[in-house]
Amino acid sequence: MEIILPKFGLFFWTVVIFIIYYFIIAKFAWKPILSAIKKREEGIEKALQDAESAKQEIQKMNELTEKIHKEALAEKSRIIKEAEELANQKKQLAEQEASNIKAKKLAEVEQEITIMKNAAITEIKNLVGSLSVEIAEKILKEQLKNPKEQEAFAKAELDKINLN
Amino acid sequence: MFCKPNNYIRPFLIFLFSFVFNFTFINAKEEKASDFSVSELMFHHIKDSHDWHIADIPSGTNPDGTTRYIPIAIHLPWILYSSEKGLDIFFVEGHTEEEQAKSAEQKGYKYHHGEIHETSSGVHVLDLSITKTSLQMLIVALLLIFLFKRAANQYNENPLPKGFASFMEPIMVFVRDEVVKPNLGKHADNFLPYMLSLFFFIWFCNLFGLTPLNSNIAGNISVTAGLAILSFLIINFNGKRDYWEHIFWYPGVPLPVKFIMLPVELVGVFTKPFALTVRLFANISAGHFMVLGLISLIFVFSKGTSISAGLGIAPLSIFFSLFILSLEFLVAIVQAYVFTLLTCVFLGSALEEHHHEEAHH
Repeated sequence: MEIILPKFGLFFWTVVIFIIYYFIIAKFAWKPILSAIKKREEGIEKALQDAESAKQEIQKMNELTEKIHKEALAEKSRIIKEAEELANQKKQLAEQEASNIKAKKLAEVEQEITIMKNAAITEIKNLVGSLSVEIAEKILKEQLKNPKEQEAFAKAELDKINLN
Repeated sequence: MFCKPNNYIRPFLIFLFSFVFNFTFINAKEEKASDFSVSELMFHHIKDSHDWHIADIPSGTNPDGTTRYIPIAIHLPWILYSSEKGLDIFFVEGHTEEEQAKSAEQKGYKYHHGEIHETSSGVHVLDLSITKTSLQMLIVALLLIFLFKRAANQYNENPLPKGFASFMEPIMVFVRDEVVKPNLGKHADNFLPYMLSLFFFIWFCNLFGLTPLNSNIAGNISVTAGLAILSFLIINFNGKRDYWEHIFWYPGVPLPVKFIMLPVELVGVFTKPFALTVRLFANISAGHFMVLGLISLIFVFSKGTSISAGLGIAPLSIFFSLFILSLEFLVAIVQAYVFTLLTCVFLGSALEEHHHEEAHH
């Protein structure tokens, strides 16, 4: 029976000891330990978050790099294409110019040829004319040795003129 | 010098040795008693006393032929207060109750079955003596402060715990995350230091009770009552409006039922600390009773029949008491956990504020 009856003395000392113990251990042990644990846990959490964000950052950077790379490639092909076009254009232009010049020269040459031809033809004509006059003169001299024939010829010639 | 595993093995070895010494000390005590009584031995161990009596060493014989013993014991001060004599502090002689009663008689006090009265007036005296248990409790408290202060200092140097701190940290985190936080929610941080103090105090008191120092701290109903009263005060001083409303004017029930609920709830307020008191006391003292009973078997047999019968039963009783002691190691922490958990649960329900009054109607 005695052991299940609380004794005031022991009860009193229990309360006193526990309260004093609580205030001391709470101030000098739990407070620093709990804050250290908390700080460490927060540190770990932050480190994990940092790692995660760093990972995301890297991914972003990778994406960016890829994007830049792609853009550069596109730029490259665009530039090449443009250059090609430009070159083509220039080539065409040059070709056209060349053909223009050629045509012009050809025209000039043609003109000259025409002039020369005309001149040659005129000369030939003159030559043929004078030759034919000479020949006609010689033939006529030959044929019109007698006055009769001369008269007939003149008459025939005159007829032709009348007809015209 | 020590490689890592040794750091863990050493404490276990120390505990194992403490079992062995426990037996020898109990044996020494029992040999003294010429008329051996199991219940006397048990109650002597369980009960608080005014001296810390660890063991007796036999040395020679008395003139009447009985063995003389030199006790290994510490006398503790008697601190008495009475309205007539005022505060009285003194020491008494002797380690048995009869010897102490005789010595107290000379100081003018009548000491019988733990009760102290003044001889002249017969007035009951307030006994505030530093007893065996309160001294042991003080030692445990100082030990805890010393150990955890050292652990705290270590955290300042290096945030990663080592040694004692690394062993205790998971337990502290367990108390924080599994006991305090789920029950107290947003109030957890305010009460966490108290709950940690409570948990480690009970646990270490229980462990101290398992050492061979004739100690039994949490197996004293006065100790558990003291701790439970503190829990009771914390619960009721922090109780919110809803808590008191549920006690005095139970919401959501018809008017007559409110009057039925009032005494029920009011009794409930006091059964909580009572349950805490009895649970811890009964669990711890039961373990002590078991071990003492099992060891006493040896002496019961040797007195009742012959020494050889006692020796014959010894291996069995040692085996079983070892088993119970190992179990007590588990009980030590489980009871600390249960006491802390229940305090948190009761406090949690007192702190709870529901905003759904209409749900009751």
